[in-house]
Amino acid sequence: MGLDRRAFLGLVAGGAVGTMFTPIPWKFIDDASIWTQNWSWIPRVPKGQIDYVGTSSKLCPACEGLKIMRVAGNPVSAGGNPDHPLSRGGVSALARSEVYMLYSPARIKSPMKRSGKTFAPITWEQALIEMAEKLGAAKGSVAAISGDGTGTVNEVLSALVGKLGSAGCFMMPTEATSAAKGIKLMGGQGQAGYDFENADAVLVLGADLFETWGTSTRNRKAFGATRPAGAKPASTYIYVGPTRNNTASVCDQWIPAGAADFGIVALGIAWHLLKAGATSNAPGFDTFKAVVNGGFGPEDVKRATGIAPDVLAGIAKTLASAKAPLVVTGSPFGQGLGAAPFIAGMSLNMLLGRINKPGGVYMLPELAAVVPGAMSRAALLDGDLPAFLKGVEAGKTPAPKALLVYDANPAYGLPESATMAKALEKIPFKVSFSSFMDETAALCDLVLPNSLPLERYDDVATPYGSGFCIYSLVRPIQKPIHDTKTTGDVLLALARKLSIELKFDNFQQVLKEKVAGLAKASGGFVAKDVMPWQVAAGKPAPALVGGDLWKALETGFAWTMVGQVAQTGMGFASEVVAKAVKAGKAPAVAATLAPYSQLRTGTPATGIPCQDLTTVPDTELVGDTTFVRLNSETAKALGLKKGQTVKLSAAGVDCQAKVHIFESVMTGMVSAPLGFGHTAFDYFSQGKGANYLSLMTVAEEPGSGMSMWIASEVKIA
Amino acid sequence: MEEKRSNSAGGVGGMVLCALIGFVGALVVGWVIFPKLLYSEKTQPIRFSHTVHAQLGIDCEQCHHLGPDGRFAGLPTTESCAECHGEETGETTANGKEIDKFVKDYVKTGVQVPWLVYQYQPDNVFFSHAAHRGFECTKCHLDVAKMDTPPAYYENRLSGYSKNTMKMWECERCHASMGTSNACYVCHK
Amino acid sequence: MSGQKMEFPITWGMVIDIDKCTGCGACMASCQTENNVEPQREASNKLRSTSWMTVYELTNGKSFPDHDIAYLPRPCQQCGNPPCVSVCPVIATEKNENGGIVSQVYPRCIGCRYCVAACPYHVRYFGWFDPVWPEGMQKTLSPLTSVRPRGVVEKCTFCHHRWTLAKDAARANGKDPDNLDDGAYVTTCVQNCPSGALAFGDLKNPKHKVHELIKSPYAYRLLERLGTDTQVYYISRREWVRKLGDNYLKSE
Repeated sequence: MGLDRRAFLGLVAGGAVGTMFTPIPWKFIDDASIWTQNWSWIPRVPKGQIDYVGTSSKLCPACEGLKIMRVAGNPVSAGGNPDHPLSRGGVSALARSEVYMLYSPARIKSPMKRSGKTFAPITWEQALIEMAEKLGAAKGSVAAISGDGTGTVNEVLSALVGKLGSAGCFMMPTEATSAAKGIKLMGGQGQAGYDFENADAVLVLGADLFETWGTSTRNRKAFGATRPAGAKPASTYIYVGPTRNNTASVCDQWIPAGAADFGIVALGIAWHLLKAGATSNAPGFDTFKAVVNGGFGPEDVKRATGIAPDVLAGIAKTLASAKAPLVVTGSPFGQGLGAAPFIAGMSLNMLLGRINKPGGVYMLPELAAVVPGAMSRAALLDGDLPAFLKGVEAGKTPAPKALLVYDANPAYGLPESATMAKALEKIPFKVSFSSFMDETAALCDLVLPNSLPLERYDDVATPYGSGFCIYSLVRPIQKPIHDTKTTGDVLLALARKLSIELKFDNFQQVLKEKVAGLAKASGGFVAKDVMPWQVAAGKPAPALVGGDLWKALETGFAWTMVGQVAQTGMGFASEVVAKAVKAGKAPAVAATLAPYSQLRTGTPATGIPCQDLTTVPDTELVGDTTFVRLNSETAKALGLKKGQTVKLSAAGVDCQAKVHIFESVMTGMVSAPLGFGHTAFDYFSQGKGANYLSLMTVAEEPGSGMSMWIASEVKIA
Repeated sequence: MEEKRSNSAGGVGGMVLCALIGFVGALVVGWVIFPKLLYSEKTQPIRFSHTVHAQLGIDCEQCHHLGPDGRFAGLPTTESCAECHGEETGETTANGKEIDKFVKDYVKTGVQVPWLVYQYQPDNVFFSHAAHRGFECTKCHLDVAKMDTPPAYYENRLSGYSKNTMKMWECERCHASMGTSNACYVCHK
Repeated sequence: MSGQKMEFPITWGMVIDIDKCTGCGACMASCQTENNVEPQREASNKLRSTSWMTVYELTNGKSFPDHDIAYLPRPCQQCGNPPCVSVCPVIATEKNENGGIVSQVYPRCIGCRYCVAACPYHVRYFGWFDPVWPEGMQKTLSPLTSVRPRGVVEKCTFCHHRWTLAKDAARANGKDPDNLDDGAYVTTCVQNCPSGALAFGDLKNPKHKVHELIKSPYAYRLLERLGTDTQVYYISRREWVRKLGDNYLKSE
């Protein structure tokens, strides 16, 4: 019997009915719908056991202790470590990004050597041979730049460069540079540490305390602790600066003042304190009194800064009547302050009797160095990098034959960037140890990528701003993802190749020795149940429990000590202040550039962390254009309109910007965000906006001779 | 025409017969062939014998335990297996060879074994073992403790999940019968 | 609003002290990564970028020098009477669980975006594109939140997965998972905020700090007049800030 049409239809119908009694249609629909939920290009989340391990942030200048969440042993995210005095559970947008930075597209994947305009990968062995040869030839004229303000690796670097014959060992300029210079000129010893936790009235002169100044996460935790939600605050914070920045936005009072005027404001307040009978037996008090009384009366200050006499008197009253007043001076963008404003601010602390007192300024001792021949931190901070590079560019200073750049991006992160880049070009052999392809690495002859903090051993020793000595470890939580090495190890290997004795074979040994030294120091303890500021306020310091300090530090705890260097002869340095701070009539300038910096756009050495780009508001960046902020009065005077594209010119450089009308900027000021305008790094940083730091011109501060670039005139068209 | 007419007379029965064949055929395809086509059969990378370990008196919890945070640790790592099986045995028995394979391929290389997990839930499911501690493991899991050879793993070619992965309706049915909430976020993330 | 107000024995709530927020963005950065939001190359296009937590800038509208600013971090407000839930045609978003967190189930969402339109707080985001991580970075994905394909709506979940973790930890330690200690469950933004501006807890549990905080005379909620009955409270001692929390007539 052949299969005719009817039979076929019967077969089909029977099959169709039969199929309904099988799982085919139902299972198929179900599975197909699940299939649409699992596209192969949508990544799956990792599976495995979750645990948390401690370390410290090295990318973020606030140096928070971190708790890294891991899944099956792989780091997944970074949160604050509640036991760490510099974090107390808080974490900045930058420190949060440490884990994702491991996979940043800007990472350098292996050692590289310049060939023409590009780089070619080489092996570590080749790199070491090449470097040893070039540095051997450059003996006597090797310079180094470090951007690591807290690491013991500076000891290795400075000792190596010293033994090679140093042409200068420099730190990237920060708040610490101005402070160190100021303390030196005042005849003081130690590093200024600010005890915010015990202070009840804080006058902030310029310093962006809660964003870029020093231990900003800790500063904010201390601030928050005295401000119970919805209740009367137990502290007063007054901000003096050109804009109501992130710090000023939460302060009780914002007093608009130009960034060049912080010294005048400080001395103006001193006038009121002196009038009320403040005195001091520190050297130079009489000269100081004469300087203040001779030119910083209320009317002088008003003429120079526009601050009304009663406002100034009010600040003086707040400080004088507080139990634990504290004055902090800094730059609104974290660099270029100069020494005199710092000294003027510190003079207020001295008048108020706040040196080495709870809630005041502690002069912290430097932790003992372990590498023979290393420079001390104070000595490193004494170098003036912008002045050096400007000298090289102008031919006044001989260009070093070789330059080592560690954790720094001087081609981007210095003022007059164009000048600095030209100076760098004059140095014939340059090595960058950057983890990322930054602007400086792009100029170098050899790039020897450092492993990232989550892949290496490193340390954090008392960051500037911390009110107590503190030491925490950074330890590898992940094997290096790319062919990178810890620079400390590379430098020690290089020393061996050059037959230079640095005592250590690897960097971990250096750190172990450092920690062994801490274990012997008296007064130190591991912060757990008792925090250093509680000890400062009178609580007995717990003993350093016997046992393995290294192990405790590796777990994420911090060694800390409430120490102070007794001051012999710290004075007012009035001769410096008198030369540098003058309350003349404010010069008629159409527009002054007032940059501001934020951790969410990273540091010059990190670029913009990819996950943080979302946190940048569209009043700061839209597409590839950044905004500058000015108030409506300034805009009117300059003939500018909201949203208008303008060109800012200064220091022989032009920068593009759009205008954002923002009324919390002082009249006459143009507020500009830093951290943008990268020409290197990855697509999250590159080409986004302009680098307004390049518009800042460097001047020599009278009295101290230090480079300063706190405020620069800018042309807008 | 004549012929066709006569054909049509006998065709009714033929049509019914064909329909019956089609019906039975579809049942065979649907119940026997389709499942075989839908699932690919996979075997575990190492023939791990739960029986041998259970007979040695090792509790299930020794390898499959809750962490101190209450999260289920899941499968043991290569490192924890290596606590006992750190070195090759050199034995020629089937079990001995399998141990040596494990040591050679995973312990020495420090690689985790890509075990095929019969019950893995999709990424958007948050299953808490701690919350279900009152139940016997075998209520949901295969009773592997009695198996010398791990059962075959059937992977759904369409959805990519294991055949043994519990479906949402099964979760919901049990929750409903226990009076536990069936709100989305009780299980989903 | 005609929807039914839902009441639960546990009501998770956030209290945000605006007077402490410096607008730094740490909460946003924490949220992005905790919840597997892709790094967005063109994040400056705020209509297309996703940030479950967003910090808004508030101003008092005056000119220099009387101008004042404040920052308002905005997670999902977890309305007691959520406008998004009633418009969802497929029950992909619901408020039906103890704790009062408005759920969002991605595989069920059909991407109609009714909820996006309905939400008065703009907390809902539609995925216009498939998420892409730079090479290797998918290894840092959090296992606690599923990755969303394009075409579905997502929003802040009060880090609901952290609640399940906290409950598991309580169970493991023999504690009552329905009566967690204050601080046992907090969201990632609350945990990481360097200023301590954010607080989190059970609004109905007298042992939790937020229970008292919401009684402050300075506490308010956003758009209270809509009757959304949100579970996020804000605190500011500045009257102009509080006034911006709702729409007022000139005479008010």
